[in-house]
Amino acid sequence: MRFLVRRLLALGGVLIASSMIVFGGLYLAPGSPEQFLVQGRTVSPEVLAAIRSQYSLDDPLPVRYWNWLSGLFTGDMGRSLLTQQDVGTLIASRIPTTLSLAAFAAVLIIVAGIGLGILAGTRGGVAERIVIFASNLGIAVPTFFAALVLMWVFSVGLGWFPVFGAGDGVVDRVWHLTLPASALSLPSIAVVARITRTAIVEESESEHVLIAVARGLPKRITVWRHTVRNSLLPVTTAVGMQIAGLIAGAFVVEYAFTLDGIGALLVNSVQRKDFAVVQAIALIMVVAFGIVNLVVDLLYAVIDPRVSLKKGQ
Amino acid sequence: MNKKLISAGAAGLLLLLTGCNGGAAAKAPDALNSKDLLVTTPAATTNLDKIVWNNNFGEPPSIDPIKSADYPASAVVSNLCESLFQIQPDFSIKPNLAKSAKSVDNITYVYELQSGVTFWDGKPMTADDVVFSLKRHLDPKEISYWASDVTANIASVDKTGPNEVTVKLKSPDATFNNQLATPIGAVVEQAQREKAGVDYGNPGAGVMCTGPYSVGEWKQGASITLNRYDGYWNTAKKAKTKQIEIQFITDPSSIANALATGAIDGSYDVPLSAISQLSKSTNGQLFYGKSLQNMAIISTGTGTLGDPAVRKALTLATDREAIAKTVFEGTSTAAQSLVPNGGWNYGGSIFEDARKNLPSTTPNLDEAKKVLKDAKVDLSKPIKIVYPIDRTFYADIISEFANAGAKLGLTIEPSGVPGAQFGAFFSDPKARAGADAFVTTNYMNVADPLIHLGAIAGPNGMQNYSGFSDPQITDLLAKAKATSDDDARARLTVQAEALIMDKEPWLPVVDSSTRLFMSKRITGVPASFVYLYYPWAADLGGTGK
Repeated sequence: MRFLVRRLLALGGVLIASSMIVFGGLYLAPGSPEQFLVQGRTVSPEVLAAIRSQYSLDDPLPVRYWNWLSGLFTGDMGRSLLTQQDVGTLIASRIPTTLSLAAFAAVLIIVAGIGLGILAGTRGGVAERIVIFASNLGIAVPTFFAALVLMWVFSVGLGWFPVFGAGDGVVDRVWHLTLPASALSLPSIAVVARITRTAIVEESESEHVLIAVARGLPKRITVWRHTVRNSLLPVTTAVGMQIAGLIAGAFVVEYAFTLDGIGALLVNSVQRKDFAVVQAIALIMVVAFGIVNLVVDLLYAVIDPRVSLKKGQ
Repeated sequence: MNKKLISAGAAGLLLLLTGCNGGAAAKAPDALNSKDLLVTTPAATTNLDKIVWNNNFGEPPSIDPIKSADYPASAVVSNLCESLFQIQPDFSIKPNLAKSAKSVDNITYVYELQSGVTFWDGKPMTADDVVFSLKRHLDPKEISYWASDVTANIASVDKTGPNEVTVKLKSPDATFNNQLATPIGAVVEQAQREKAGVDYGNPGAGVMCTGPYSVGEWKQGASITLNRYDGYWNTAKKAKTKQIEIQFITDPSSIANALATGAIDGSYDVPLSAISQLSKSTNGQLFYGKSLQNMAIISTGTGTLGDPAVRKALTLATDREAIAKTVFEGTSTAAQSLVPNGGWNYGGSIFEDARKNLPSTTPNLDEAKKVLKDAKVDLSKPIKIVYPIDRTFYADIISEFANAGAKLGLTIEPSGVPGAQFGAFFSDPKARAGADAFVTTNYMNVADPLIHLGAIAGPNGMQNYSGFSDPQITDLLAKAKATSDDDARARLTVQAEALIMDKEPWLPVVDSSTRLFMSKRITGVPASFVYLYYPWAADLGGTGK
């Protein structure tokens, strides 16, 4: 329990620090937001002044930070400069797409990444060499490139999958998101597969496995109970990190496949210096990252009880 | 892996590889003859239930007409909210919600309103709505992106009869009615505007207008659906298609794929990189239309390029016809003026004849060297030209200028910046500092050369980025603005044009054509560049195929 409280406090500290960075960072970029809004048209100074006052752009930075932070606790994330919309509503309409995409990709990472890693680590031979080669390729290929190739082969060439949109309803959505999720998860699958393989190979050379083998236990038991289970610790960390990174990496895929997620929204908002939206999304990403990390730490404790004992004393 | 899969993958790779060359290495197609450019496409013969279109520039931030000042919003709002005047596919400007306009002195304009016009909620459009809508530009709290020297010139707007509105100007402006064909003249319902508050124009509250389509479902980040308004006042122009779903795909390869596979029925301004793929399509057809767009290099007025002699010499030495042929895949022509070819709706022969006296677009190195002798700046300093790095074709254009510059002993440095940063060049003088020039794809709002030249080279011009000012030009522009006779105004404008082209505040590169793609099953939209302010979707229907 104390372990959990300490981790939550640490998460809070990280959130406050990153919210300051997020809030201040956007002010350093060139160009003022009201100038971006009018797209270079020479509008009257009164109009520019009206925009500045409507969005409190003239208040000192600490005051604006405080207003923003206190607003967050009442659920008020401000209004988009660009669309005049309530930021909460705006983001809420985009989150389902990104979450489905990330969840789909996470499933692919866990199933394909760990699956391929176990295959390579336990079988050896040709299977191992193929997995190693494919994972090298998977790590090297940029996501946008994978997205383009997948789209060309399976959407344009074969016509099996749609070229844009996120779909409505469960089946349609899975159909629409298959290629984007594959492109998004490809590098992570490669990383997880390699780490899983390495962990298994190391574990299978450890004393207790060698002893188990020497005692003549059936292979099924030595592999699953002694090798795979014990090698899950580093794998859990790797999977957690990869999944946490998905939301941040989603924007490339969302852009390529024209999905209405928060990644695409973030890119658009950064380009237009839409402060309130960028700040809210950046904070959501930090929170998501923090929560996934917390979950990983808790999982650690479940897999290996010694972890929580050591940290919680 | 079956054969189809392999060939599709190989084709994908090939496309990606050739894409890296920016298309410049491809075989040059024949140059487009500007006389062959289309105004319309064959009229629709059948009504359809639904058409899927794409807005290549993305999602509108707002559909409030006074906030639609760029491609993403204007191309959608043009079907929703109408103005007092309207630009037609042939670029002529006709009365629209205003039935007629009377003016005696270029200062007072009396508009009789069209009767029987209703908003989508069925309520009639009144003179009060018109007065309210025009006055929105004068209220800083409304944040009109169209508040400009044009609207600042309005002295008063009054209802002077049950169906009549009178506008008084502070100083004469013969272009005023033409300006009312843009969102400056857009009419919205006063009651709904006031009720909507800060949510006005966003997906929550929307707008209330009189156009042939009303706003249907707006899926944020994905699409907006327009529904035909069956009570539309202009029964001759009633929309032919019940629903138009407008997608917001911006990635060039995704656009090409969606059009090629038929997932999307049509789109204006298809990306240059998609031209070769789409011109071979069996699924639909590419159309090239008359345009009000051009591509130019904007001088910041500083550095080596700040000297008019350098600008002129560089333009003379550059093979802009080659740029039109290769970089633009033959979809453009070399530009003679900053006024796009054919971009006028009055004084036709006057503007056309003036072209013969403007310098030719054929490169002339000897002449360029002669002109450069007049330069008073340090010619050894490099000329930095900025472009958005995600638009690689700009790099090809600048490299053609660099080749020409090298022959003159000038060093040209292309400088690519991220798209987000590039936007600041149009709005923030601080961002421009240190750059000699930046590129632009520009357009005329309406086909009036006087408005356009005034914006670029006039003292308070909306697009005068270098503080360009020349007393003789300023004088001519003002004189033209106060001249009500069309031909007389055209003659003054032509004089100003010649002087401006001699100084070249911007370096003209090419006049574009409008690149329109439609699938076989649909037809009817204008092929010309009027989709920002003309309700193009209402003309869209079926071919019967």
